[in-house]
Amino acid sequence: MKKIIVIIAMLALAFNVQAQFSKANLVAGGLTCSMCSKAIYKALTKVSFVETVKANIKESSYTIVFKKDAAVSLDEVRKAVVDAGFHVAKLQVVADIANVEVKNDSHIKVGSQNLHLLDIQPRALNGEVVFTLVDKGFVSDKDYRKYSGYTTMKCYSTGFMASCCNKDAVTGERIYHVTL
Amino acid sequence: MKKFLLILVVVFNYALVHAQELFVFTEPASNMPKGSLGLRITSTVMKEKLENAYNLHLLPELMWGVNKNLMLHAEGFISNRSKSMSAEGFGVYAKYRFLSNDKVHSHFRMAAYGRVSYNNSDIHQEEIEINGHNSGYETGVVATQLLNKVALSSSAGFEKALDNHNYKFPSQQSSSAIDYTFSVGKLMLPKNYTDYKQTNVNLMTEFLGQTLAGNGKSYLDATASVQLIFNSQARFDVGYRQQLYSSMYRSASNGFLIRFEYLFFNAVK
Repeated sequence: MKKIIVIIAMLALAFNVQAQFSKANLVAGGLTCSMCSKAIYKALTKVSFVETVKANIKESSYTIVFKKDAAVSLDEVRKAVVDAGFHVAKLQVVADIANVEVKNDSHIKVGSQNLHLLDIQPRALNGEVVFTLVDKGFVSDKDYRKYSGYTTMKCYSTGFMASCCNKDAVTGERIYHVTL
Repeated sequence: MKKFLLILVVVFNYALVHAQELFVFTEPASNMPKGSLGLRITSTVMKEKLENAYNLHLLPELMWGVNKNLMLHAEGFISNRSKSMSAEGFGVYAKYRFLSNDKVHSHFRMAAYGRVSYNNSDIHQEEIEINGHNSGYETGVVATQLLNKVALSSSAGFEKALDNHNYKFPSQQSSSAIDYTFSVGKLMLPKNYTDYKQTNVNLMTEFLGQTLAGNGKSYLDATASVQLIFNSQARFDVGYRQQLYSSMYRSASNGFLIRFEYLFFNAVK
């Protein structure tokens, strides 16, 4: 019996680990020089849960691989870019999802992360899924306004779950808004 | 002189294609990354007008990115004004970025700056330069626009000279001035960016002007510079500064600037 519980626990853990963000692709904006690009690169490598960063200088983009089992904070990723003197123009995160049904303007949980899906058709997510962040500070002001039209929920402007969100929502928890 | 202006125009046109904003004779509105430290040594070699000699200045400078908006510099002034190279003073410079309108391929930024400095050399010209010649202070604003890889930067400031230690500021001279600059630069090499180790070659041209508040006398200089950036964190600048016109007395207005700078990323928390 004990053995079975251990196996179940391990399986649950394994599933949970799998569902974490594994990597991200970030495009930084507002720069053209290599010194600027390197400043962002150096700042990203300093983030505690970042394993490796690969820069594409020409495109101002960075492929970030997160440490296994580490708690990823996309706000911290953004802060690293902003502190280096620039901004996030685009951020995509990759997670392994095991068969989850999703619909527009609804919440899902990926590992410990709360995600709110916008501008999507109902579908099943399975395997490696790329989520594109549409929160304030992760897209241009113009795109932010565009995605505001897809929801009436207040969490899009605050970034935190509130009574407007579904009944499972934990008020005050960080929620990222994404599209597929 | 005509030839020089022609060269400037050519450089300027090149600059409109692909610009860089790490200007040589001025500071852009952008700052150093938070937590980085920079070490900079600037030297100027200017031809003395009244004698067959060169005026040498050496400015060691320590720079610190305090946060994303604020950077501080501490600098020392060394020159051969008293015949042998000797320390003449020090200064503190701060720049605060108060506006940042970033888009993917463009940004418009504005910053306010200020400098306070002490100098013990003799006062030998009407031009006011508290960065190595006069004791005093200056403050101003700088705006930098990067648009489709074109960077333009312009600044306007107020500069006030005080007495230099044992030397009173001459009462017949104007002790305050308005400064204005306009800068533009272009990345020449590499054509294709793939690695931080690639050496960058940048060309810059800048215009530097001053009008003395007390008597309206003014000057305007043009500069042309070549900048090399190694490993995306070491910088070597060589610039030439040429007076276009001046109605004030300046002891050494034309000459070279040579600078080495090294940036330590994530040096302080």
